[in-house]
Amino acid sequence: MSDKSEQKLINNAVNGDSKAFEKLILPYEKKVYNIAMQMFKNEQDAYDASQEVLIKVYNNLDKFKFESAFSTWLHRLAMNTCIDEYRKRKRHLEHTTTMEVRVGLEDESITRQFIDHNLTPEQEVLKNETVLEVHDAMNQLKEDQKILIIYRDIYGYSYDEIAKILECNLGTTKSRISRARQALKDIIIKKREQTAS
Amino acid sequence: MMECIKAREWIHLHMDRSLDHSNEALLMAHIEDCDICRRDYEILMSIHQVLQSTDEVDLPSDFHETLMKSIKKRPKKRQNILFLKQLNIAAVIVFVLVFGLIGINNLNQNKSFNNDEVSEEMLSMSAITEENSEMNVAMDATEFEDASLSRASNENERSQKATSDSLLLEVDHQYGNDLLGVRYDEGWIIVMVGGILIIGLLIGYIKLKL
Repeated sequence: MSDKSEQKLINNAVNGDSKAFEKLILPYEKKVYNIAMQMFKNEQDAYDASQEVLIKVYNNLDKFKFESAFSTWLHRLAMNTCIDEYRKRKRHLEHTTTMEVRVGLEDESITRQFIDHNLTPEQEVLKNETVLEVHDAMNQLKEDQKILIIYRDIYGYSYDEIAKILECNLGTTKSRISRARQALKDIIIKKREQTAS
Repeated sequence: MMECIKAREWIHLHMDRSLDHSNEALLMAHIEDCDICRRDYEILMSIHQVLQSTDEVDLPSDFHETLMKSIKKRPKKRQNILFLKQLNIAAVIVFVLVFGLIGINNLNQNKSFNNDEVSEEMLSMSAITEENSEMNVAMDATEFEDASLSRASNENERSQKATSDSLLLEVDHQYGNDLLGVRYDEGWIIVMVGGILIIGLLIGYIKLKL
């Protein structure tokens, strides 16, 4: 979609044209749902959170002043909403069940996402173990670090794009992502040490 | 021999494929020698591989439909704003027209009333002056110099002055006072009230970010 046609759709959507909004949002729906899916690792939560993101886009579209790309603004909303919803659910989960129990229940659906048909059965088992290890570590990561890993390492957004989404400079963005990776690695090391002892 | 701190920094650059060849060689040499950096490198690379091999999942079939339904169900904030915007513009136009017309009408009425009063006054004054001059002509004609008649003429002049003073006071009382050099009356008050209301509406208009 060209910038001009996107701008026209935004203006029409702001003036109450729901068809224009539909056309505008359609290319982003899958991406937002997938980001939420990586954040929550749960279809229902991902569904609800991504719906919430897109409803927020609709409700706040009149506040979009074309100072950035529409996709940047949308991902900023997605990032913030995912972090907020994740915190809410984490608080709720602390009262109901532990993350570990939840992870155990979802192991099968997680490993299904990483199937590599070129691997031998032994390699497959090893890979699944690594996948679960990484997934477990991701779940223990702080929500603001987790979302950065999702954008950078899962979906390959550039540092520049992420810096624009975060509204901070490139250096800060790079060091924040680097710290998030370090934190993820430290969680895995700690877990391995605990298992070994 | 490079330091571990530098090696950790370069591992991230290596993950991002933005480390140049010469530094890549230096990093690999360090990793060969340093157990801790090798362990970190291996873990970070396995994390990276796992994350990068994540497949995209398809949208649930009802996702878009549910979204559009909930958008249509929600209170139409934007349409409400649009309605407020139109209402505000209409209110500004109505106030400008109503208060403007009333104000202008009042001002015109007062102006013409003032003009009428002044011309009536002028007419009565000239009538009195004519009477006096007739009397003087009569006196000249008869060449009769009577002191009592002269007194009557002076009294006439005084009463004439008193009449014009009282007329001016009446006009002042009826159509307003001179306040700080600005003359206000009913018309001005209406225009001022209208102006305040219009300013209020304009502030509302700006507040709505229209």
